[in-house]
Amino acid sequence: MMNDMRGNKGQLQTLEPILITIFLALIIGILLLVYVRINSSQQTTAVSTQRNQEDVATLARIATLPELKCSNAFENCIDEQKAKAFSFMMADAKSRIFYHAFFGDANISISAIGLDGNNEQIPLYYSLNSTNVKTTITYFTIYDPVTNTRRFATLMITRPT
Amino acid sequence: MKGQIEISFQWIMVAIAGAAFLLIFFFTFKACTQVGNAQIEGTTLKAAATTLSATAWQAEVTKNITLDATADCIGGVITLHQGNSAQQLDLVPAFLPGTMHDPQLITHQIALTLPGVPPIVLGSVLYALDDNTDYYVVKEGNYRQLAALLGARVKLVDANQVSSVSGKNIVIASYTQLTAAPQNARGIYITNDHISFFQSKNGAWSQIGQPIPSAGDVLAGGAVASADPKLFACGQAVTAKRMKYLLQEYVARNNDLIPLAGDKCRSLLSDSASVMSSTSSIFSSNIMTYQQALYSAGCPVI
Repeated sequence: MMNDMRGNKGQLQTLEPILITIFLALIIGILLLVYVRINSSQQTTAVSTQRNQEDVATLARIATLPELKCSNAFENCIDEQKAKAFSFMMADAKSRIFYHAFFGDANISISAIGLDGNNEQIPLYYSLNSTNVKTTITYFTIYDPVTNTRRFATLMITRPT
Repeated sequence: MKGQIEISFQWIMVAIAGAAFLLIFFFTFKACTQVGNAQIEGTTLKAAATTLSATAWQAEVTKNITLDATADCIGGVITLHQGNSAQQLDLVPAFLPGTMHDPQLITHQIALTLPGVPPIVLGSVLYALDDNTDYYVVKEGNYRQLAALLGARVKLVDANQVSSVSGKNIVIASYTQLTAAPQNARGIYITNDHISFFQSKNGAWSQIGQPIPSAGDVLAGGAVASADPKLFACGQAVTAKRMKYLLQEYVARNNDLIPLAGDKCRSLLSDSASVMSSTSSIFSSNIMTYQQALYSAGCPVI
């Protein structure tokens, strides 16, 4: 009986260092896993915040492009005829490649909202292949230089998430 | 005695196993950190490239950014480098120096102007001025205009004081031939139709490459910012391309407006479109007189 107990104690003493090593390995492993998860989550949040800011900034900058902005002193104003000419120019792949430096992978369009309920959509720039997308909208005035009238318009940018 | 030796031996084995575990964890942790750092480095460079691209298309902006990077022109494309990361600035009208530390970004609009008439905007350019470089403009020729374009980081110097300027890196721009060559300096000689680049060597100027055809103060400012013929040519080529696209769009808009506009505007729009259809003719003819005529007649201007 005493011999059995001494045998068990001896076996336990033998296993003790192995058990401690496994325990420590588990603790370090869990800590490492937690670190990697936190790090990855922080990076994802930072990238998402940066993209949101980029989208808003791009929309604000579009109104300052001479390719689109009104020739008169109106602020946040897009010239309808310039937008149509630009849209037509973007049908050409070479032009699209050039403007990719500014717009990146995105679809950008303007919706002019008429008081009579007739809305007109002008696709400004299309270079998005992704299906996993996010859309940001801002508001502008669209100006028709022929009739010298202005309409309310939304400017929409769609980018990959 | 035998049991004690057995237990000690096991502890040694466990210590070796423990050390092996720790090594594995250490290298895994290090690898994870390196991947994270590489991602952050790549993201930083990408963010900087995005900032440069977006800023270059805006007019009259001055801002400082935190960036340590080098730039070169590979196959006509400006490429930023930071550590092992590289980022192309494809088709960005930017004039960057070869080495940048916390640069100041300054943008300017290229436009044809006439008092009282809306300007015809032909594009924009971006200068990046390195924080570790001292920029000097020699007080000769059209120096005031050039210094104004380059902002507060630029100092003015008399032609006879050029040899006494000192600094880690120096860029000296002049509208007259440079004579004295201080240490660690790059020289830019601007004429009406060409820009030449020099490097100081043993107290004398040595020309880098061939003179580059160029005209106007806005592009001369780009030459000072880049201080390198290859990087300057890269920025200038993109600036010209943007101008071409803008003119193409203005012509298309004018042509679209011709059937929609009233009788008095039709011929003016048509004349204006025909002048703008060629990039070279826009500088040789006075397109602003058409713009003024359109504006005075109440017709749509560019």
